[in-house]
Amino acid sequence: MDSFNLIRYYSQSVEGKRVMEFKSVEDVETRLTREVALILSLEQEAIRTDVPLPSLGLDSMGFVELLVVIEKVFALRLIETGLTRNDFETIHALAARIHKVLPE
Amino acid sequence: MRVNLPYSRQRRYLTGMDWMVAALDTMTNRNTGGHNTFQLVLELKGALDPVRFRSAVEAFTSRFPVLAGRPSRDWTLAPYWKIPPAGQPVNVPVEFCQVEEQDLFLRLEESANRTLPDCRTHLAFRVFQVGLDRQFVAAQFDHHLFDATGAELFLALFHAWARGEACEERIRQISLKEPAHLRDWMQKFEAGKQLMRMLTRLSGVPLKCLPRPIPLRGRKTRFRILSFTEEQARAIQGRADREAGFLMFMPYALAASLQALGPAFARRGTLGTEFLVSVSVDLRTRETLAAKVFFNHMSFLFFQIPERLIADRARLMETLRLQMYEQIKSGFPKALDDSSMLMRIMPLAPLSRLMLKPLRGEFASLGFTCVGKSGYPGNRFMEAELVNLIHMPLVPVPPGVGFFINQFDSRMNAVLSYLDGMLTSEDVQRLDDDVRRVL
Repeated sequence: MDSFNLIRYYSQSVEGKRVMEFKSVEDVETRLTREVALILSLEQEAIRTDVPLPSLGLDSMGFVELLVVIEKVFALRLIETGLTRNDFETIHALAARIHKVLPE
Repeated sequence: MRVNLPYSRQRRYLTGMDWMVAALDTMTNRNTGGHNTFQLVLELKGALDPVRFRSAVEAFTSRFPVLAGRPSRDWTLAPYWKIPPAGQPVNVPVEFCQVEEQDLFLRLEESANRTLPDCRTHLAFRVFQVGLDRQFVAAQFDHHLFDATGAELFLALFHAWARGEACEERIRQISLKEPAHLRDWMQKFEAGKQLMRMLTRLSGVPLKCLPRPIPLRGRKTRFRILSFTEEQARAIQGRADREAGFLMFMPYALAASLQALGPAFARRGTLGTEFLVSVSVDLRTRETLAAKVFFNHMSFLFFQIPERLIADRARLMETLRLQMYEQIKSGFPKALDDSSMLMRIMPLAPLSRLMLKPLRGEFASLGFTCVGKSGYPGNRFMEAELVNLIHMPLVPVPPGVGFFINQFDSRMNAVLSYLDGMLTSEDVQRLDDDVRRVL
């Protein structure tokens, strides 16, 4: 499924389901890894969570695609926040940032 | 039982984007007599042996009969690229000449503006020798057959092949398969509706466009090349991170380009209150990179910026980021790609006129492309050291002015491409100074 069809699919996400699905940072990280793999058309196993996103092959376009998917899956509109390197550089950092702001 | 008809190997169907690029070529040719081509300049330290280079080009390009093809239509009216059978000659002109340092830039400009000799020649090499140990290889590509990334990938493959590296597998991976796309019509029409909504919204907007000189016919494209060292490029990237955000280099660079160009528009007394920038974006993924060397694999984003925002850098970048986000969220690049399939039925001449109707004879205020990671790895080209790789694209007319940013080997280049007469020498020098200051 290409990333643009994924965005249409995720528009049906339900908030309650989201809260249950992402109890830990690892849950968020697993999901982000899957999404990045889809955007880059790579196998999930090939995606390292501790490597800077540009090194995985993500550019401006790919990064914005990821932010769009994050909005759909986690209901977080990160494009309007400060996109600092520390918070976004790796999947692991991004997962921690997202998990911190998800409702309990 | 499936029967593979032999003619299908000689046929690669053109996508909607291929057809749009062809329409831009028709538009430009009608206006100025020029064509939709672009040139990659490889700055070399060292010298290529002319005999060896010519021989390598002839042997390598003969592997790709697609290089000698031309557009045609089949009985369904779907356009396709007619590929000659293997073994037919592939014409790729190669020229060598000695030039003085002070004449080099003009010669590169002339080379970029040259018309390829015939409708079956889509690639040419011109090698300019400066002094004893510097060469500039100007590789001119026809946009019908190559986009910017594809051209870099092709040169990289040529280099690997010429050096005797094992690249048969890479050559086999290149795919010329493209279906006719004569199905999923509802999806295409839905995409067309999305495009029409955007065009309808834009049609009421008073666009700022630079006046085009009269007459247009015979005018050449001029260039100003700004090259940044590794240290400068790293500083630019750092500023982009801090001011625009992580991985937001494209909006940062676009903001800088607009801030530099804005005063030139103001000095020319342009009417209109909004800039519209068409930004080409590559649609290849890592998986498809090796396969998609030939033809066009890109789409566009369109940014609409009120003139009053140009002076407010922070708000300008925020606006660009949000517009980029909303267009990608709505799936616009893919919608444009899908809907453009519907335009393939139109002949190029009327299509090239129709494309200008929504915006009353205009296409955009300017064009912009930012190629991130280079498709050319390493810093060698054949037996020479590759110092820099610069893109010199001819911007279609209209709009006749554009910025092209590429990165190569930790360096960065920003190239202003404009139709002769649209900007004065003073405009260009000020622009050069401003880009260096704001980027």
